[in-house]
Order: sequence, then structure tokens, then C-alpha cells
Amino acid sequence: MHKRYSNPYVIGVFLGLVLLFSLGGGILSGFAARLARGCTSGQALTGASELALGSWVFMFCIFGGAYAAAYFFRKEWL
Amino acid sequence: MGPLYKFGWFDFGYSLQIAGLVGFFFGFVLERAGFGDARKLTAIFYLRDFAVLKVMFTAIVVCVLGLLYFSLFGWIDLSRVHILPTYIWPQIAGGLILGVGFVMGGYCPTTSIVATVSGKLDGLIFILGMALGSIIFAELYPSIQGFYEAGSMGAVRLPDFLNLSPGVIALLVCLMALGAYWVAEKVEKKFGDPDQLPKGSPKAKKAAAGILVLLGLILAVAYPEGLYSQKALSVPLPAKQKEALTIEKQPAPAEKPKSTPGFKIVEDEGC
Repeated sequence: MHKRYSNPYVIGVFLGLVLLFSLGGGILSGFAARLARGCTSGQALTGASELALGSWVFMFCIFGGAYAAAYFFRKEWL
Repeated sequence: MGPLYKFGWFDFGYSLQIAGLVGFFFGFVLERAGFGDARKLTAIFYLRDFAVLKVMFTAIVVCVLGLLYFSLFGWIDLSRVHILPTYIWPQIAGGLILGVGFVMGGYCPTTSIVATVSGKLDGLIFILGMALGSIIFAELYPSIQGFYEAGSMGAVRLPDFLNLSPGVIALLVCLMALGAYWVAEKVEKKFGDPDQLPKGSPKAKKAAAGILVLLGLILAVAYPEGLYSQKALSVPLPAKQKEALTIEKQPAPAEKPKSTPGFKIVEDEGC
């Protein structure tokens, strides 16, 4: 980002967008963690260590969802 | 700390202190691994840095081996370890949504806390978002309750589901982790920034891989199936039968076994 944009206004808009995405990501994560009865630590890591079936499925679904959505947010992170 | 209660070393209050200590080091290690940084976390989804995958799988492998070896030595009682119940559909949906939230916001729930306390504004906003998401879930709960309880399979574990012994599963987990590391390093080398990737000695990596396979093999050969708790072996009943059973049982005086104060096992769902 620092290399591509030098205009402070553009940087401001970019940061605003990032924060908006943070909020959106938080809402999705909070909702999903309640739905799946746990987050990456409480459900995926803990459950996978206990070899719980649902936790393994949950973990691979996290990766699946994230890889599927990664393309749309590439400008935010690359 | 529930499983260690059987020795009488801990009571509830003491275990809370230990939980605090463990949490302290969990946060410390996560921050030091760079997990307070959204760029580092999301780099895995652009094939540049697989630190997230390595840390996750290492944690799982250590814990799987630890649980099985400790129970083999008689240090913990696996039947007292709370197994997270499987509700397959909400877990699939939750995983997919959480993945999208992860790549959108740059954090998962745990790492957003790490980011916030290391001074990142987007981490704080993410936490606010999570609170909002929880509120939305609570508000929607009456309409999605059916889905929330869909696909209930009870506390089913991989050994029961795949009909393999726990030792063999542990070996498979080790092999899967090693394969994942190997592929991850190949991909990293291709797409990642060579200056930012960790450099390890190939010898040490091979030695660690060898130890891991050996530990898994020992379990696969020597782990007695009887040690594995009976809890999960009982086939989970469909909801209707369960209801019928509980209704039948209700007339009988339901005497709750009085737990000795201070020796309560905490069963929760984690964060």
C-alpha cells in the first residue's frame, strides 16, 4: 500500500475501507463462532486435538471458506 | 484441568489460576509468532506464508500425541475429557462463514484480541464486530434454532467414525501434518517473499519429522483400545429416542450425584 499510493486522501479512504472490512469480518466471525459453538481456538484447535469429528470438519471449512473468499479481498492484503 | 483432578492436585480455584497462566503464555506465543498482524495471518490465503497452518497443525499434533501418551502412562483419564459434540451442519456453515470473516477482517476471534492488545485499531474494530455478530446471532436464534441443532451426532470422534484405533488415527494425523508442512514449504518458496520466510536447517526438519513418525508409529502399534473412553463408543441416539428416554427416566427420583465442592469439572465450549 505504501508503495502504490502516496496521496494521503487515497490512503485515508483505504484505511477506512480496511476498518469497515474489519467490522464486517468481525460480525461474520462472531456470528459463525456462535453458530459452530466455538471459534478457531475453542472449536477447531481444541476439538481437533480431541479428534472430535465436527471440529475437523469445521477446521477444513474455515480454510475452504477463506480460500474461496480470498480472491475478493486481495487488494486489502497484498 | 478437569482430567487432572483425579489426582487431587488441583481444586477449582487453583485450576482457574493455571488457566490464567496458560492463557498468558498462549497470548505471548501467538504475538511472538506474528499472529497479531493481519497481513501475516492472511498471507496463508495468498500462498505466501503458511505460518498459520504450521502453528495450527503443530498445536494439534502435540495435543493429540500428548493426550494419548499421557493416557497411556495413566497420567490423565480420557473419559473425563469433555469431547465437543458434533453438529455437522452448523459446523460446516459456521466454518465457511468464519473463513470468509477471517479473510475479510484479517483476524480470527483469538488473534483479534492479540492484535488489539498489541495496539492495532482494526483488531479492536474486529472485536466490536464480533460482539455485534453475537448479538445478531442471539436475536436471530429463534428462527435459526432448527439449523443450530441440525445434524447432531453426539460426541463422536474420528476413531469411532472411521472405525480405526486411536493410535492409527494419531499416526495419520502426524503424517497429514508432515505432508502439509512439506507442501506448504514448497508453495511458500514459490510465492512467498524469501526475506521474510523462516529458514530452518533441513537436518533438523528431517530429524523432527522422524521423531514425529516414530511417536505416531509407537501409538499405532501399542495403544490399547480399551483405554479410550467408553463415552464416545456409545452410539449417539437420534433426538426422538433420546427424548423418549429422558421422559421415561423423569418419574424416577433423579438424584444428582453430589460433586465434592472444589472438584467440579468445567464443561464449556471454549471461546
